[in-house]
Amino acid sequence: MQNEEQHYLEMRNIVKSFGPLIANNNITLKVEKATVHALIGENGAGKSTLMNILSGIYKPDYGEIIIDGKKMHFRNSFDAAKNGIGMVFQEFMLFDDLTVIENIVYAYEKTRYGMFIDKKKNREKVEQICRDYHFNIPLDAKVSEIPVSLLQQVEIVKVLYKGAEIIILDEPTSVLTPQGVQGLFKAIRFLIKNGKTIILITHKLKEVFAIADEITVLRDGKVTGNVKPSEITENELANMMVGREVLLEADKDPVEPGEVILEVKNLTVKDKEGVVRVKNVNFDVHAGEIVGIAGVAGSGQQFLVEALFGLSDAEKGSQILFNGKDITNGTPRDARLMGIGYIPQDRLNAGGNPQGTIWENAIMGYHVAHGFKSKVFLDHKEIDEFSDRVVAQFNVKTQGLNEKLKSLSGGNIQKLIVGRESIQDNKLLIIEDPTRGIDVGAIEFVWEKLLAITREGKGILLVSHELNEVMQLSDRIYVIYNGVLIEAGNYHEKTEQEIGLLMLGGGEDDVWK
Amino acid sequence: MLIEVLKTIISPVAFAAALRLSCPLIIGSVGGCFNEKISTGNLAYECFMLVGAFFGAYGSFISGSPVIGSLVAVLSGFVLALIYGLLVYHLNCNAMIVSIAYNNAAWALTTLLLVVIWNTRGQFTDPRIVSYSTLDMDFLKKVPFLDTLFNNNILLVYLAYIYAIIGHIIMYMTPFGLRLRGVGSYPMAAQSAGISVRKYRWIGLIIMGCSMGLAGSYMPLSGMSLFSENMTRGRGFLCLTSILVGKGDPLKTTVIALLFGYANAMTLVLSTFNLPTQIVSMLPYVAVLAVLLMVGIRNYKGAKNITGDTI
Repeated sequence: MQNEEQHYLEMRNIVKSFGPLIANNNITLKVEKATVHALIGENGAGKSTLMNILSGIYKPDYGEIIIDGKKMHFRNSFDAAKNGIGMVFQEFMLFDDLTVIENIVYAYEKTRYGMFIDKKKNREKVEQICRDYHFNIPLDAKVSEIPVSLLQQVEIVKVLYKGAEIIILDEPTSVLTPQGVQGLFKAIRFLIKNGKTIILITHKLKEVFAIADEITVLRDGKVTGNVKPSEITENELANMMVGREVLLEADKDPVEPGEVILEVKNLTVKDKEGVVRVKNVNFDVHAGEIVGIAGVAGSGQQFLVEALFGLSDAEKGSQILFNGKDITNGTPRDARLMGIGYIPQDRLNAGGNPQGTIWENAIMGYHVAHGFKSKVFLDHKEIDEFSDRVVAQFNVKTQGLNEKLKSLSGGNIQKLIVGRESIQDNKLLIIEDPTRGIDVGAIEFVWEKLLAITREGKGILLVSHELNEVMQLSDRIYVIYNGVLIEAGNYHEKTEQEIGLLMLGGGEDDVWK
Repeated sequence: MLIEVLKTIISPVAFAAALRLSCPLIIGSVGGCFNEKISTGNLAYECFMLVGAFFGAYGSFISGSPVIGSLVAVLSGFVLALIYGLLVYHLNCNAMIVSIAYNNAAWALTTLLLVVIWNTRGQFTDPRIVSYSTLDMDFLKKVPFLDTLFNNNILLVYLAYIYAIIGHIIMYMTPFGLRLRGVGSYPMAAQSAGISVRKYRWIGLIIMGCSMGLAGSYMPLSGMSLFSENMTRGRGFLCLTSILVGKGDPLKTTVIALLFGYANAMTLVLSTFNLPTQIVSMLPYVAVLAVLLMVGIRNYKGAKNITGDTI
């Protein structure tokens, strides 16, 4: 064993359990210096736990970490950071109320007279890093004011500022456009050239092939493969992750759209500050079709959806017609009564009640509208019958109808909410990011169900940050950029690159060179 | 009559009274800013202040020194903060419930102590409760307006304004302040940066407790040399309001506290006129509502947004 060649970073025989759940079962990870090592696996495979151990947040039950031949014992994340481990979390660890530079130097401030923050020195060092690694970020803006793609750069500068040699990126591309991803990959290649080591956690197979030097696959807390991208195909890799054939392409038949059910004319929405977020938008949704709206996060899609469902006000001159009836500036309750279903992006807090039971969540929003109540009291017979139907048809894995929603996994919560909205007699479903952060199996399932819903003659408005999802599912595709809706052709009419370019508002040709 | 009233409310005497009466509000709320910035839902300001007022009087009574009185008051705030932190941080009690219990218990506790120690109810006046003496600064005597405004105040009043500046420096110019603000903004992120969230929460809480205790000691020791039941009469809540409106920024909070102090001064200077006392004593509370209304209008962004930002 000992004579084997030494790797820069080795995590040997790591075991970590939480109660009865064994999150990491004897995992060994070996990473070479100045390479990109992809760590892939479904949700719950143990990737995050392993990386939390590496970054000192969890202590392993068993196993050891060796960096550059030295055995490490990290007492906490401070300790790990001091030894060159930097982690960029999927949920950004940034303070909204503080400025970018305050975020970067946080807890690692340089001081004057031992007690005051030396703003000048801090700034010099941060600016040096930005220059060295070609990052361009506004240092004095508040974090709440800058776009997501920049937040990610802030996170990377933050770990570099702390002197990280090994940088862990946890699903860094989940909110980026294709161009944003290219930019990130460029930055990663630059970091590698400068001797940094990257561990990339991801769900997305395409990214793995684009950037990784080596791949470790985890499944159910165990390593199921350790390969080089040149030695394996996408399908084989997917099989290692889930252990069965996964088709990441939806089974979509061409549809014959029916009558118009939703018609939006000249819709304009302003936000709280009075900034126009949706500009003069026109589109319609026919029965039996999926209309997809792709866009980078923060392009106005959230305001568009909220105005449609009555959660925010539309400006004068806007018109929203549902089955020919004007519903502009109606209330969510009106919308539900008329047969509009809504699946919000934040499924746990806006789509459901994490403290509530499965059956409560299964009838939420319909407890009055669709008659789960006989005059005064809830009709439990009907509720149970309906909830059972949702759970069975949508394959929600649960201990029983009285289990709390928060104890389910993300995929199962999403199945429950999609089920709730689609089994009801709705004519139109407005769906935001139906598969965000759920595993491949659940994505496939939700996609299939959405296609099945349209076959019943319902219309779907799909708003997603995942371009592939919009392209796979939509009969007609729009792109929203800076509040303006742009037509992006019918199913499979335009390529991913063409649409990605629209998401950035045109863009230059040389982006793809 | 109206002109007389107007003249009075903008007279140097009125402003001098405002500067003086703002003192406990400023000391308490500047310390409270550190509690607000860590956002742990501690609302027990009234309790800390009232208990501080009692122990300020008691400390001065047994020692004959107002400084010792104030130190005892600070200690009482420290002990209350310890118990609060134990309940909320370590035993996971609901912060709101503990705060309400604290605020309600304070009146009962101080009245009980009044009976047990001084064997009286309602009010205890005694020359042995030694107040701070006023500082007479000669160089100000020659300047007519500034003399009325700034001269002849007790130590705590000058301290309050210095305290506000120190509070600002600590909050915005030291690593400690930055880390504390971060802990309140997003505890998870602070933790991931290796900061002990619990440590900063404790420190913020203790600063608040000690400051509110000190602020409470102003009341019996500012010249009256007495302690009465519910002596603070809502001043703790005025501190809380100042902090919330000032968003935990020590300087902004001080400005709001000054405004409340001014409204408070009105109740004094207007008492010489034949106005209904009920209306005059309403002024500080009307001022609270007016400030909240103004802030509300400024931040109004349409009716449909449900923001839970009430506390």
